Amino acid sequence: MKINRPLSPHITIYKPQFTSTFSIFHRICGAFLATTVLFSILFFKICELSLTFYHFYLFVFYFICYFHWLIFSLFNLAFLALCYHMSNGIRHLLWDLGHSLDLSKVYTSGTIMLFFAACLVTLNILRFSLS
Amino acid sequence: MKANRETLAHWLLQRITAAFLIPTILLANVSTLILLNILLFWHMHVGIEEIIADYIHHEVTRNCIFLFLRVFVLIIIKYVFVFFVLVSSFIH
Repeated sequence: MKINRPLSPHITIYKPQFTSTFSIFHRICGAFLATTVLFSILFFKICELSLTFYHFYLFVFYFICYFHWLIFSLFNLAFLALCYHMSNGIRHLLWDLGHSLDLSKVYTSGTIMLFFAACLVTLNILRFSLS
Repeated sequence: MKANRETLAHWLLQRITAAFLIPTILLANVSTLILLNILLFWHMHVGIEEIIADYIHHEVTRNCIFLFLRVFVLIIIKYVFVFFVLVSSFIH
């Protein structure tokens, strides 16, 4: 076992491209969505168990009073991450089926994916603001 | 060979759940909540396991985290099932 093996400085001199950026953001968005869903449900569970305790109830009440914007923006961020993760996941599924594996097609499908994610965001915002 | 088959099963599971999640999320409904629950948490569990397997190299720690993660996700699935699926089916 080599424990203190030195790493080559790959991150500091690495030039980011579209492909690698999309790929790492797919993973970051997935991890963010997973933590958001799991921990918000855990928070609901904790609340359900212990909201009868008065001081905890006060804490939750004032937290929501002062930091409602934090919860709101967290869910909005999770929604953006969901749109990105979903539209990039369609691209990943297409790659797994063997379609559009050329470099030029990868770039065009990345642009289409970004456009699709933006459309998804605007459509959902319109739907929620109209209803 | 056994490890290879396990990895293939994980890979296939992630893709299949992802393919079924896209219409399920877009057409989220009371009647599809149970399907959404199972598919979403399955996909999430496989994804977190993949990330952990990539970044944690110590085998005992990794298996310990896998164990705790499985228990945690099971508890959350049970809670969501009871709270959302059963309650919404009682309301309707």
